[in-house]
Amino acid sequence: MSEAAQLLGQRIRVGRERFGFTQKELADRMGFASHQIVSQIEKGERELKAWELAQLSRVLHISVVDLLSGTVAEPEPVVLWRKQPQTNKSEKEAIFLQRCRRYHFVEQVVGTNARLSLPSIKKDSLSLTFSDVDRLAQDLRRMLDLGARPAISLIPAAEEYLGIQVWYEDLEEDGSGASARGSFGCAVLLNSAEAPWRRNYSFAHELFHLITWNAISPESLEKDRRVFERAEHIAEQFASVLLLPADELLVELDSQIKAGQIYYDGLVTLAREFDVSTGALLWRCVNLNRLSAEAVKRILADADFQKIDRATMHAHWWNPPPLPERYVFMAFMAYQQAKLSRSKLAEYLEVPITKLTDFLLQYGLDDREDYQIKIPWQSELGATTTVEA
Amino acid sequence: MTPPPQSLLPDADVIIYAHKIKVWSVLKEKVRIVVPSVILHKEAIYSETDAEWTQIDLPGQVARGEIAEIGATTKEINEVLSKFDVVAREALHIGELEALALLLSGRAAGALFCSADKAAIQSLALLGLSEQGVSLEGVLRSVGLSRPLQHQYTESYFRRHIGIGKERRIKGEGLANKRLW
Repeated sequence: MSEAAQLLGQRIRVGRERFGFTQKELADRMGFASHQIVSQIEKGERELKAWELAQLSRVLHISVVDLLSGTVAEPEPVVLWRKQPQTNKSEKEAIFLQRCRRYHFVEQVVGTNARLSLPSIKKDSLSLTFSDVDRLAQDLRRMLDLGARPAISLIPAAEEYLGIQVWYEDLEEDGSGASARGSFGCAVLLNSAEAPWRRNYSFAHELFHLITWNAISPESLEKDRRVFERAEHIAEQFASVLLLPADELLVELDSQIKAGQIYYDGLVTLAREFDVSTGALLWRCVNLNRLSAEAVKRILADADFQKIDRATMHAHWWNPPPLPERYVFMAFMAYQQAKLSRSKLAEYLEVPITKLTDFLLQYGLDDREDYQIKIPWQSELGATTTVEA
Repeated sequence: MTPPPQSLLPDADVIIYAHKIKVWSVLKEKVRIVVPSVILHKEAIYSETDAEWTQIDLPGQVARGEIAEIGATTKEINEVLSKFDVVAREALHIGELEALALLLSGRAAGALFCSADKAAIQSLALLGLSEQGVSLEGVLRSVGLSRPLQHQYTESYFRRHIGIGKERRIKGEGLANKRLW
């Protein structure tokens, strides 16, 4: 029984326990005849074959390299959920974190770095005032140069300038999103089934959690309901101020007022224009003292308003791609640079190798082309150099 | 003409492409083909013929004795990984690592790794195993077949990436411990 086999066994046990699998459950998922095989593997008494290792890597969502050489008890980064998943929480988190690590790897190998740093604050949620949050949102809007309609450019700007990974997944009953910070940087998971304007708001909300990650620790949010509710409330305020700048919104609201009244379709148009939900727009109007809370509740409950709102949704609806475009591009660049093999690229992009070409074509990429063709280049001085295309 | 290899260790792409251009059956007859266990057990691979995808039944071919299975142990995979730096370690799929592990351990003696993947080909050279690789074009030629091939299956593509891999080996790029000479 070698030390390496024992260490591998320990890593497998830790991975299994993270998901709460019994040895029998893991044996079933692996297609082993009995749980005793898992027991032997975990004790380092049975050597794994390469294909079994590949299968374990898939089942436990741990890379082969980490299974073979990772640290045994390295704690996993915390994933902060807006609403805790009702089922398979550990597995959902493991999938998300594995994606984050892959994203970080391709970022590293192709040499992209965030150009700006995410601001951080030291105050905890209980001592943060609304004016602190207003200032923070305004500063961030300026820093990212988000312009008059921040929701439209927020996610791409956060990806590009702050290096925040943005993933989409159909979270079904598991709420609007989650965020995580780890050695891979910052990452946000959004519900792809939600409306685009809801996703914008959720992203801004999660951004607040990332900014306050050290001041309001995810552990304290999970433990203390009062801290969690306060932090959620402030995160909503942050999202509102960030996506609906007061000056711009008031000018637009004024332009919609006819004879001292504002029509439903005017409000809906404004919401679509700012790319936020009508609810978010109306509650921001309350915040800016333009509407009362009672009036907003009445409007939102009004069937006519809902009808107008729904009628405009289709034209503005879009579904996010299965994987972030930036991630796919960088993984493809890593492949081009021979930093990922084609099979590994398929693994990173979560498609069978036979479907890889079609998948890449959806993103405008063609793996059948050779981008490494060299041509001789005659410089001005007459010396011949080579250029790589 | 170069004689055919004693045996061939193809990667998944080569198997798929050989089916697509309809040379797999001939290859099986002329060369002993050994398929890494990961490709055999864990990769559902398909061939595209007449715009239809059909699953390639490699386990069936093994059962009929047309091809053979070969598997590396965890220890052998670890041995390969220990040669690479953190980036090169992550570059390859477990199926490719398995093929390299088998070559490095000497358990696939006489077999030539047939790949059309630049990362895998460069890794072969990085490990000092350049002579244990072959392009699909090279194999086809050795058994008297000639086909127009996509560029990544050609001898020139293979040689180019073997060359880059050798250069990387000299510079120590991708290796866990940089070589001094």
